[in-house]
Amino acid sequence: MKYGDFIAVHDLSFTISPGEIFGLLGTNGAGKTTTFRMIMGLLEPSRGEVLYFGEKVGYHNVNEIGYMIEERSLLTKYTVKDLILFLGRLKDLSPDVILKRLDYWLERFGITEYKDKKIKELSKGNQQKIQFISAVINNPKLLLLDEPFSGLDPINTQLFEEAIRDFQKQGSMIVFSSHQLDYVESFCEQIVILERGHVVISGHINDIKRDFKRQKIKIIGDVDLDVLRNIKGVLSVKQNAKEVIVKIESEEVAEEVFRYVSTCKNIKKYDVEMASLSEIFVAKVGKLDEKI
Amino acid sequence: MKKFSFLVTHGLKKRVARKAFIISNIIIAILLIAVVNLPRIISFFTSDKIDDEPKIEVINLYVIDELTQSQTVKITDELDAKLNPDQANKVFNITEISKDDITIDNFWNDDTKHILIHFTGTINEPVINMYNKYESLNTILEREIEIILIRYKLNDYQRPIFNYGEAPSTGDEGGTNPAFLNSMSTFLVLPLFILIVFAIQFVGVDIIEEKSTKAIEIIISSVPARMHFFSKIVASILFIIIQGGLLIVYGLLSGLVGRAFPAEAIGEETPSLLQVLAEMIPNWPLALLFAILFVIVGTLLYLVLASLFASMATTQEDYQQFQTPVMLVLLAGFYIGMFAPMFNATSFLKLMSFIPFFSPIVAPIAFTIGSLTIIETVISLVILIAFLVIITYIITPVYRVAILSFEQTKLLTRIKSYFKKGFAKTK
Repeated sequence: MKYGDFIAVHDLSFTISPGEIFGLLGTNGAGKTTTFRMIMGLLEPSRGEVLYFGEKVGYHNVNEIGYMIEERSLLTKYTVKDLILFLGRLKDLSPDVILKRLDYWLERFGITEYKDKKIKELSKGNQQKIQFISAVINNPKLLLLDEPFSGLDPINTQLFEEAIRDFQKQGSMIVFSSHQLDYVESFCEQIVILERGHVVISGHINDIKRDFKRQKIKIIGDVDLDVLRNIKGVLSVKQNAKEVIVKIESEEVAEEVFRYVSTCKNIKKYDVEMASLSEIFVAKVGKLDEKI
Repeated sequence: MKKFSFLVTHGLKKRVARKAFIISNIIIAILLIAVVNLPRIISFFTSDKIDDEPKIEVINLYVIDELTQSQTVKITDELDAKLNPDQANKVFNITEISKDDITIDNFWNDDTKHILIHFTGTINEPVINMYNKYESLNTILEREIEIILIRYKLNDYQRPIFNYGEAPSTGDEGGTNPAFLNSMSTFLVLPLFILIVFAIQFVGVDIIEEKSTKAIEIIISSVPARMHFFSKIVASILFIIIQGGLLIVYGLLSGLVGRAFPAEAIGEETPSLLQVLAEMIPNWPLALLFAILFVIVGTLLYLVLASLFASMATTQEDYQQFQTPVMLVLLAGFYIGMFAPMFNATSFLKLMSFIPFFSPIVAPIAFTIGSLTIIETVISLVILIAFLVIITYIITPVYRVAILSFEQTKLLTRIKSYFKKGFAKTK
């Protein structure tokens, strides 16, 4: 996708199956929103196409898609009821169906008393809930959620998570973006990490983690940090309050570290962990920056 | 089509089913009825003056008797006897004078002289020139004079000819043309201008509300930008038609209300403003038709432009700034329509009637005051329609780009950018 000479998203390709949650990650300006807009058909890719069950996304199948953008996108002068009726009618739903579903979601989110309140009278968190309801009022087969958890407290985040999981169970395809990589890690089967329009990482999370060789070892015991630093393949050694964290280049280095640690006294913990998504993200994005 | 009709209905309901609309229309209706019937209302409430007139202690009435042929009629004495049945308490102080004793100018300027009756002609064919500062007494005087004359001419009686002299113009009422042009300008130009301004404001506020809240992205993801664009235009023009229709209804209503003030109560029929205007514009049905057509097409033109600027703006403040050029052009049309007729600049008025940005306001007034012929007015309308079609064709792809863009660059840079993108590749 190009804006003049600027490439917003370059060579992005992925497939989602029904019942799958897909994570779209990246820093600000990475191209996430542009990708969502392309999926919705609001932007035409300079090259390639977006297919929904083999068909190009257009106004003939848009009624099956739900879309929640990152920013607040609510008509604040409307009441909750009027707004959802308005947006639901744009999805070709009858008023009866809309109101029935609205009641269900208001009940589920515990905000039934706000049905006739104006949007501008609601708190940010409740506005976020209404925005979510507006995206799912058509029971979408494809649900696009741009930063759905941003600004939510843990309780409301859990409500959203459960709702998204329900759509997954129903067989909906869900694409969502987030800065909170912990959610992505626990939520998604597949991810794409974008940075300045380029794909940094793409694939199933487990494969990505396995392929990302860097690991870390957590040690509690009497170890000499300098000896650890001198082991070939050790990237860094850091002493925390309780434990020593050793970052290594690959799994093979762990054996060398273990050999040394086994000679030390008072060893209470020796734990080799795969890199977290955050670490992979930082490592990969940093690398790309160097290239650009 | 289902979504389009929903959007139009929704947009229309948003404007019409509001308290503000109902309240403003009640106020407009009351004002219109009052303004149109102002002469009647004033006459009605001042009609008691007529009853008071005979109560004036003394009405000074002067008689010039120049009746010739068998001059046996004692007009003055007879009139005195008739008008003052109670000779002890005379209401009319009747004085016979000669023609040379008074001039008409002197009569009108002299507050002590109330009525002057000048009998002339012959007894067979009398002519009575009457100058009366109390016009309501004309009927009584006519009747009494006839009774006097009948007594002297029972056979072959012919009704006398009554001529009524009018008070000279004070200058303000002189020259019907400027007054006519003035009233025409106000009566036609102002409503046209107000309706177009209403339309621009409504469509702008509507679009910018959706855009500034980012709801536009959700809306455009459900309906095409082109459909969104046309739904706004159609809803606004329907609103204008409804509002214009209501104004006509209020006009008709004001006619009915005018009848509530009975003519007998006010001595004679006082025309309403509409009647006065109808008398001044002999071809008013055609003028009204042209005014309606021009306001519809003209409003559409300005709606298209306003929609474009609203789509380019990102906030309400932004839109206020963006719409300024449109408002200035509209204002120029308003002033041309308002003042060109007053200064008799008919050639200029005619020229401006063929320029689409001005013609919606200028052409109807130019036709009404006779600066444009029917053919010329039709040509002006055709030019306006053709221009509207071209402008819509150019603007639609730009709107599609601008409505989803939130650029914050300067106005001209933004316009250039959107036009470039709009025509580079359309969705």
